[in-house]
Amino acid sequence: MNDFLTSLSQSWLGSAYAVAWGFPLLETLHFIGLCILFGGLLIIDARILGFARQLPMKPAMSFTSMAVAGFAIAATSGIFMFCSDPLRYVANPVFLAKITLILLAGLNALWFWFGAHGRLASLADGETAASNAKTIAWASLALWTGVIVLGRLIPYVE
Amino acid sequence: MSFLASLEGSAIAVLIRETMWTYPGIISVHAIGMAIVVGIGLVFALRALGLGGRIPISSMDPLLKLAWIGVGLNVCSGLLLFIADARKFLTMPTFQIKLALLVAATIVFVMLVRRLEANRSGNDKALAMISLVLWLGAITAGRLTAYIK
Repeated sequence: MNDFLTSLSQSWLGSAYAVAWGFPLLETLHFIGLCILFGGLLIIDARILGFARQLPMKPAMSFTSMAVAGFAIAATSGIFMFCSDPLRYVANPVFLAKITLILLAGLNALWFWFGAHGRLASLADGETAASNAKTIAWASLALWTGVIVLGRLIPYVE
Repeated sequence: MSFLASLEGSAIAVLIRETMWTYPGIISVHAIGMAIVVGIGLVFALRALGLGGRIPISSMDPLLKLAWIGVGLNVCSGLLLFIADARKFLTMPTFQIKLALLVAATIVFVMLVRRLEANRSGNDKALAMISLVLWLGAITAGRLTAYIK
């Protein structure tokens, strides 16, 4: 495992520190990705939870593409950051907790897509969403907020 | 500068700098606030650019309230982070640029929402692009304050 991580850091994937401004650039992209992801989640979750009840659900669903795009930017920049110093990250308990929350958020997203998305698309304006959809929406907000906090704490736990 | 120095010497600034989890805690709140404010800012910009085109702007009103809560969160957490190192921040070009971009981004955001509400869709796309660039620029300048002394 350690040999694999060391070879990762020596490959082109792990070259962030070798490039001038490489790491700050990755961090900036990571923050931009997280804002795009969170914005996409907020509009959909706000409708499902009844906070923005008059928002038409079907067109609001097109903001899932915003969330997915934000996740792709954050995940790609995150992989490069990880590969720049993998042994340091795998030894960091806050990083491991963050990855756990991301995996849970991924499962929650699958539950949303396969267990709630279809029925939500036919929700009338002002109508209350099903309770399983509300559970998913709360979970997504809680999990991603946790991911943001844990991500921000990584450098303080070493 | 003596006012800034006295800010840094105040009991609350000392608490923020020297208590183990205070600074990371405030930074975490600042990151959540950023995600709310910029996230919703980008939602309105993308809506103006055509994403979710059939969504009436009036139905997005609750998101505006949420965005202002995020602004409040980040003005408070930002002030606390600022007074902990007031002299350092105020003389940093990246910090000055970040503040200028945030002021501009907020003004353009309010203009964009008003245009969308009035449904005068003429320049919405140009204004939305400006809004997008200002938000992303503010994040970039904010991140670089950690690197440029």
